[in-house]
Amino acid sequence: MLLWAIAALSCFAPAFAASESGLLMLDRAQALLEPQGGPPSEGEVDLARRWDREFPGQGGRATYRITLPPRVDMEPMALLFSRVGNQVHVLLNDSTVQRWGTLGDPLFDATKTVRRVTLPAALLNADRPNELRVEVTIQAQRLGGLSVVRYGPVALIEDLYTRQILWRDLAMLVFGAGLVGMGALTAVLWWRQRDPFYGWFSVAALLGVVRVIDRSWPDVPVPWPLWAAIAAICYTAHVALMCRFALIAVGSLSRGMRRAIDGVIVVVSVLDGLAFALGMPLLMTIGFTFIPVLGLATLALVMRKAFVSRSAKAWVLAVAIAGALAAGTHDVVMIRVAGASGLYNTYIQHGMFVFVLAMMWFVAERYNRSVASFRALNADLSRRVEERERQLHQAFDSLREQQHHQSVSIERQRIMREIHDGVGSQLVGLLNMVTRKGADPAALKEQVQLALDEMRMAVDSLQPAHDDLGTLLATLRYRLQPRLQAAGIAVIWDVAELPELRQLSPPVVLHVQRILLEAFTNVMKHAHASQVEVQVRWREEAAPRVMLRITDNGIGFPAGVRAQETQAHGRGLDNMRARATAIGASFDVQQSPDVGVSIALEWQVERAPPSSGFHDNPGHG
Amino acid sequence: MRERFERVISAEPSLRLAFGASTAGELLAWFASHPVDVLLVDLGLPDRSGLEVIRRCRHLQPACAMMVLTIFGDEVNMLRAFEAGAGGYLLKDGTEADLAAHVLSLHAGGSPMSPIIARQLLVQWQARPASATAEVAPGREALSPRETEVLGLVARGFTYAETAQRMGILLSTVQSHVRNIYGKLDVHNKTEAVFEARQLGLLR
Repeated sequence: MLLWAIAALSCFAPAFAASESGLLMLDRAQALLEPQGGPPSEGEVDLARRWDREFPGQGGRATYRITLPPRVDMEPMALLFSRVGNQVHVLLNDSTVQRWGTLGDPLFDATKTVRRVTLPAALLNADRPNELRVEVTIQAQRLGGLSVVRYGPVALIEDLYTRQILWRDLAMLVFGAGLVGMGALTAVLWWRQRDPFYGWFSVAALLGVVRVIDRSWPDVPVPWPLWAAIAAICYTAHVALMCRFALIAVGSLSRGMRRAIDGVIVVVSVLDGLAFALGMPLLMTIGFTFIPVLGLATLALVMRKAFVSRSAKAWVLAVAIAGALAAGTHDVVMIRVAGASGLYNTYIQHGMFVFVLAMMWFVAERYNRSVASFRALNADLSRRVEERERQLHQAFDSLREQQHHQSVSIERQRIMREIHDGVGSQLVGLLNMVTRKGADPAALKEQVQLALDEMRMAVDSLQPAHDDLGTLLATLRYRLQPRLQAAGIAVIWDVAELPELRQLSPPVVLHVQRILLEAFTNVMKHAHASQVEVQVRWREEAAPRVMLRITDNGIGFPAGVRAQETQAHGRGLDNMRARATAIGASFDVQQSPDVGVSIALEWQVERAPPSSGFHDNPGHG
Repeated sequence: MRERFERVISAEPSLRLAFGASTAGELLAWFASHPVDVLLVDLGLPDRSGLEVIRRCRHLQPACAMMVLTIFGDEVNMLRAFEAGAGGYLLKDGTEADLAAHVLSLHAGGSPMSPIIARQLLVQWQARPASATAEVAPGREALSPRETEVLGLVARGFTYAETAQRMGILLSTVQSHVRNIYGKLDVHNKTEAVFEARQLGLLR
């Protein structure tokens, strides 16, 4: 099958033969060959045979003489050298018509491309044959010497030349540019993503560029034998790495294969190095045979993968590898083995380029996949975050609702309790009084008033702006003032301006209210006083304190008289004491028949932080 | 309960009951063509909000003094009533003696104010010191220093008499201060209505 492929590729060659009518093909010459380290030989040589076959591992000089027919007309003629080098000096009838490089200086290598020379008509003899003399200096294993020459009219030569250039040199340019481009692109990808896949691909592509340079640049500024070794090693590495990638791309890279590929690179590099160091081209040929073997192994694995997974990508890759293999084998067979040196071209670079293009597709795929996976990850994360957010919202909402319910229920219970304890108990007492016979209307009225007061106070305690002690006292007075007035008790209101105080939650407010109400009621009912003084002071020290004092000018607590009242007194006082303790206040009662009763409350409060206003602002907003 | 009020008023020699209605519609129909001195409005009317009645009546007879009847005198409703144009309030659970005295007092120019309401007003007026800019709805007309002082003392629990004594002014002056304060609430309402209308493009 391989030979079949080679035969197919060789069909290209006849393309040149077809247009060769009109051209003279010169394949024999008289030559003086002077190999280094060997005796010179003189005689007729077959230009199709290469110097490297005759004198392997030896450089030298050579001079070729070819007889050209006499000029027919004034048409300009030209020569096409399929390959000549390494440094050339062309003379026609002892006149120099062309130099390529300097004889003996290995810097310039003329063999890199096909060469042509225009022969000025003036120099051509019309009457007798012309002598074409080509002097060359040759470096070992550099494909030096003179091979087949074509002679004909400039137009035809140019035509052939141009086609050659196109096929070979332009192709080289394209490959070079392509490899550099792909190498640069993947290098950038590696730089951004730090994925070694991209990095190694970049290295492999750029290694391929070395070969392109070698095949097209005549005067590489690296000394000759070193450059040859470098080129060969780079080329081997390029091919081996590409095989490696092919396997990675289809996912068939096993540990064994990886080791094998690395081994091939090392072994062939050593062989190539030795080949040049020791001047044994056979080593290089052996080295070059590794590559197709590697290629075959890669092809086999890729094809198996393509069969198994039925993936179109794998099939495309298999075809590309097969193409490259075929091209490479063709080249090896033609050039190295068969020793052909005519206008044949090597196709390996074409094959490799196609292979590299296929690999580039994989690189693009991989990049695409990574981008897609990023997007998918992103989308997934977004979704999860959204989900969490929603859950959090729900949790918050339900928590808030719970808290709301809880606070509402607490408040409700408090109100219920207050109503029950306050108004409720008053009404029960009232009921008892009413059902008892001989109830005193005045006492009944008193009781009802108390019930009404209780109710008003309960409502007051619910109003906002009621954690302000000042407002609390003021409202209490506002409520009780009419009754005190009716009882003929003057009120001396000595309340200092109090700052906003905290810690007056509704329960505390109610306690204070009750205490005060109890005190006032005592004054109204029992004290027989004409005056009650309310004194409130605020002390701002280390521990801010409020001091409250209610003093009346009544008769105090007469002991013994009206035991029932004393009992009620006692109970009332106990209540007040208990409430004072509940809010953490100190409770002090002083009394005497002359001065009256004085009740003092003192407790610690916290000053509220300055706020812009009271809480609920039901006014205009 | 209306009967109770009517009875009290009729009993009081200095008061004359002009009309009693149990729905807003009734009242408004009558009010349009009958001038009165004092109007007592229950906030909890069956067919319409008492506040609306107050606003309408204010519009119809600006000279009439309006009192709101309320159960507890809670300051939410009170402030709304004052903004609507009420000049005073009565507690429903007051004694009958209170009622007559209160009505007379209101007609005479006195306006009651509870400490809580005083505190609320103080806070609200202080809360917007410089917000009366042209772009925003014009804030309330600011209180004068004397008015602020009056509010402060009432909020602390002093009676009008004690307030007058502390400030060194007459009791009637204190009452007129309070009336002015209520009036500023009402004016604020009118001004805001004008502003709103301008905003809506109804006025030019």
